[in-house]
Amino acid sequence: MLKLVDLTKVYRTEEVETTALNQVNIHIKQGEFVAIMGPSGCGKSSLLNIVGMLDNPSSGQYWFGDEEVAGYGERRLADIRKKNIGFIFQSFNLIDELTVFENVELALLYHDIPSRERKERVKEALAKVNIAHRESHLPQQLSGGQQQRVAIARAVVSRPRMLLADEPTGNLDSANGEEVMNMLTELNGEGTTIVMVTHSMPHAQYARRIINLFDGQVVAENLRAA
Amino acid sequence: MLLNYLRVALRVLVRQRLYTVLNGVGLALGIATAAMMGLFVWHETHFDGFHGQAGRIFRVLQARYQPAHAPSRMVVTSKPLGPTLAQDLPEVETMVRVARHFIVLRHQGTPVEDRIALVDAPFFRLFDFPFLAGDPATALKDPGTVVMTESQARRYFGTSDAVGRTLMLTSGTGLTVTGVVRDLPSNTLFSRELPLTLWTNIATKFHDGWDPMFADQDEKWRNDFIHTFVLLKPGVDPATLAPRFPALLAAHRQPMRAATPDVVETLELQPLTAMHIDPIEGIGTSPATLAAFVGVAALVLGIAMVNFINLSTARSSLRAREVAIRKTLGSRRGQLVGQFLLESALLALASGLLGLVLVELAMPRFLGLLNVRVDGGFLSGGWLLVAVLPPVLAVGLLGGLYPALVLSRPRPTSLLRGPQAAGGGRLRAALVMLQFTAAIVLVIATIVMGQQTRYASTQDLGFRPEGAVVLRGLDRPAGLAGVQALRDALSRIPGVVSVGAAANVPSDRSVWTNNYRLPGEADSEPDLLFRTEPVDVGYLDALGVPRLAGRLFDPDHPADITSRAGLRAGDGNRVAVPIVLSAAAVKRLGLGTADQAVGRTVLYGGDEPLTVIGVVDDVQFDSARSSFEPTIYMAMRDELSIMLVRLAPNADAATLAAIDDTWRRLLPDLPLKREFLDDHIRQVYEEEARQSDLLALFSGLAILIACLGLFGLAAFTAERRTKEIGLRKVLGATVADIVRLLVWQFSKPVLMANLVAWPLAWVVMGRWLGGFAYRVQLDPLIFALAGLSALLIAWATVAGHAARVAAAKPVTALRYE
Ligand SMILES: Nc1ncnc2c1ncn2[C@@H]1O[C@H](COP(=O)(O)OP(=O)(O)O)[C@@H](O)[C@H]1O
Ligand SMILES: [Mg+2]
Repeated sequence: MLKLVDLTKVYRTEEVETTALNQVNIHIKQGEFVAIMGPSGCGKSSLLNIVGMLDNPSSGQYWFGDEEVAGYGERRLADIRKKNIGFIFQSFNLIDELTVFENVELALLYHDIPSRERKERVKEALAKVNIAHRESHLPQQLSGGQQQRVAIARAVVSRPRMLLADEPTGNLDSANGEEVMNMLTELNGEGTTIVMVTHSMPHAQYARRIINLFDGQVVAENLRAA
Repeated sequence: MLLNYLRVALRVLVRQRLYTVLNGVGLALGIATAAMMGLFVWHETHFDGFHGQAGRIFRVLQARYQPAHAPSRMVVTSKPLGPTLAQDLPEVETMVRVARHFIVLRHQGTPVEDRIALVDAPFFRLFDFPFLAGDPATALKDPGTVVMTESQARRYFGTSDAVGRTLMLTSGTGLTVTGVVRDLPSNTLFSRELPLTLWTNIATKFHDGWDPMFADQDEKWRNDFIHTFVLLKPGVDPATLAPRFPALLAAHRQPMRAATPDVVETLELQPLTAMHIDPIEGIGTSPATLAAFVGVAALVLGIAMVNFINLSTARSSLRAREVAIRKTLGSRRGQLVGQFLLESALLALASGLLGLVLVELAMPRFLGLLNVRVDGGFLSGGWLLVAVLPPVLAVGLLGGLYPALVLSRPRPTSLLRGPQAAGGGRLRAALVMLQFTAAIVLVIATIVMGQQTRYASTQDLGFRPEGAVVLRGLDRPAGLAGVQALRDALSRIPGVVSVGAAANVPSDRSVWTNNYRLPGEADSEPDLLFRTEPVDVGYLDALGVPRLAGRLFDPDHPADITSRAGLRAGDGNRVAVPIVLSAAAVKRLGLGTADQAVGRTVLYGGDEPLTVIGVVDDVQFDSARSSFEPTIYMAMRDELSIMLVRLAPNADAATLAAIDDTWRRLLPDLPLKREFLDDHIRQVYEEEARQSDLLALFSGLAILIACLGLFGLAAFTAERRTKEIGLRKVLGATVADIVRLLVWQFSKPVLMANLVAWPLAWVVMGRWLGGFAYRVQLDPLIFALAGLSALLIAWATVAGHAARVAAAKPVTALRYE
């Protein structure tokens, strides 16, 4: 589904130049569940941002399907992103002024979907993550685990082919963490490709493949016996 | 500690450059505008306060009260009034009269005209104008003396050291210079309403034809032409004199007609210091004008202050986290408040300084636009500080206080959650709405005033102003004697179509009105007050007024010509004086059609018969503020003052040169004063044009300042909503989606501002237009246009910003979380 070839990301600020990713080569197939691990600052988020087309690489190739998107502008990236990719963040990133329902609906507003169908799909997604009874609450009125379930609903409501999760359990206790991991596994079982960054070895075990990053480079890849 | 705060404050201001600049510049513009207007208002409300006895000096006004008529007040009185007051009223310490006379003297070879004041000797004891040379107590003691201003002395003698020199008039009279005063300050009646630069004793003889006429006035209680000032004794309340005035007047002034007992004529004492802002006969600065200035200044300053407060509160809400951290580290509330106040005060102070610089740069232009002279002294540091400091302090305090109090209140944890916790967004939206309300009202006012000004200047005046030349200054013995010869000689010049003399041309602000009635009417019927215009043969033709019926004054009918003396009732002259009526006069008298009016008799002043020989179309003698006044034309030889020359379309510079030559040849001792009629008419509308220019300037400024604020707020919102915008993009929002979102957020207050501004502007401008007899209709389209342009400007201000934020990569946005 996607292939990274000699992918490098360099951040330049006034004082320093940071090489966050250094000649990374990764191939991820349709339907895979991949976990990315590594110490803080090794480039995990940078990698996910590029894979999620939120950012461009400094050099190297990024094949998404049979398109080379590394040099695409924001407009075309947004288009591909909208159709194919969902995001889950460590800090949930819900909009405080919008209700649970509206937060999830937001993901469909930018697709041309009629209002009726939109509402149905939001309800469906909320039911799937067991939060339908809280649809008219504001994010602050929910616990962390509940907020992350809303975020997952929002990520999947547009039915993306690939889900990117940056430390989705980082802010959750173990019970809530387990629940989120189960949901991701379920989604993967339904055919969604999942790429997840995590610090937790137990959670990484849910994935079929683990990629270890260190200092911007891939240092190990291990396939978990199915 | 303070030093530490200062350092932090400066660093914050530098770090948030955009806000600092927007805030500073906006406030500086507002302060500068308000300061300029404030200075002007201060200047206008502080006239003549500098005279040591200012509180005891009054101008004597003549007032007339009549049922069903607006009370009338006149600034001029009869010549004998002053001495009578001084004699009859023990409360009056001194009396000074001021009459003005045109003198002609030769300056660098050519005859020039200048204006001299004939005053009673104590003039300079009442009014403290500093003498550079001479003794104020005695300078004007004797006839034949003259006191002049420094510039006049330099003009005529090349030096201000002119005492002892002689000012020679073309009449052969010489006036001895007995004093030189410093040029008058700008804030005195004698610079503006009654400008004086030369003074002589009231008994001075000029030998130019004026003396007998002026001497003759000593017994004339009904000829009002002289200004009378009185100095009351210390402690006298002017109100105690008022009851005595009607009797005093009645004892000397015979009533106009026995049948008008309900008319009360009296005197009023107008305090010297109030004269300038209590304009009579339209001269001076009216309270309404001052109020308009204060209002516009308040609007512009208000907009700027709102900006400042909006931007500072917005900016500070971004610092909620900083505040929370400071608090967790143990900072006390007072310290935080102090810190915010200091930042705000620093910025306000800097803006104030910038505002001062702007005032220094712009004030001369501003005064030029107003066509007002203000002494440089008023622009010096002290005054400016007085004008600028209050808004600076107010703004610094308000701008800092709100965020200081709000931010320092909540518990640190609620602040740590994020900037949204610090709110205030609704207040800001309301304030933005207020700003745009003010701006939209100003824009509508500007457009309507512009329309009306243009409309008024294109109004059909009833005559042809283009292609006519006015020659002035015939109202002296030599001029009146030469009228016929001048007219004949001018008519022979090729390129001249017609020529005629008159007392005035339209827009001269002439106000000679008389009472007229029809014979056989009951005495109880009120007289009709018509404008009386003395003219000579040929004038109505030269003016280009269409004749509607009968004939005009004609050299072949010697009986057409009359004089003011010939009109006076009871001189045995019962021959009906021929007159020409305007269409409006025919209508008011109820004479039917123009043709029916010809041949009818009208009574002047009650009993003098006049015969209508012709009717002409209406002429606008005033401005578009008034409707066509009923007018009666009489051919009065002794009232003539101007010669009107109608030019052929092919007239050129040679024609004008020939006209000038003719004047110089026939009237060598009279100064040549020539102007084009249309230039003269235009001056009437200049005041309004100036006001509308000024208003346009200030509405532009108001919009600019409001947009500075909006720009800052847009930047702030973009920043505050970065996370949300990033998220929306992650979820698939396009750049256009985001721009639309942000633009809509700022459209709402502007749209609401329209709803408030429209009715407000409708009422205010409806009132203003009510002052014009000929006026444009208020056009709803203009309101829509003003609203739309405000919206477009707001969009243009915000859109760029929104686009920049929206176009950024979403990952940048998400990093802010
Ligand atoms: N926008 C940026 N500008 C500059 N440096 C950055 C930026 N984003 C990340 N970095 C740097 O790149 C390196 C990798 O960061 P990141 O991908 O966030 O690591 P991780 O998610 O593994 O903790 C770090 O050293 C970080 O400081
Ligand atoms: Mg990270």
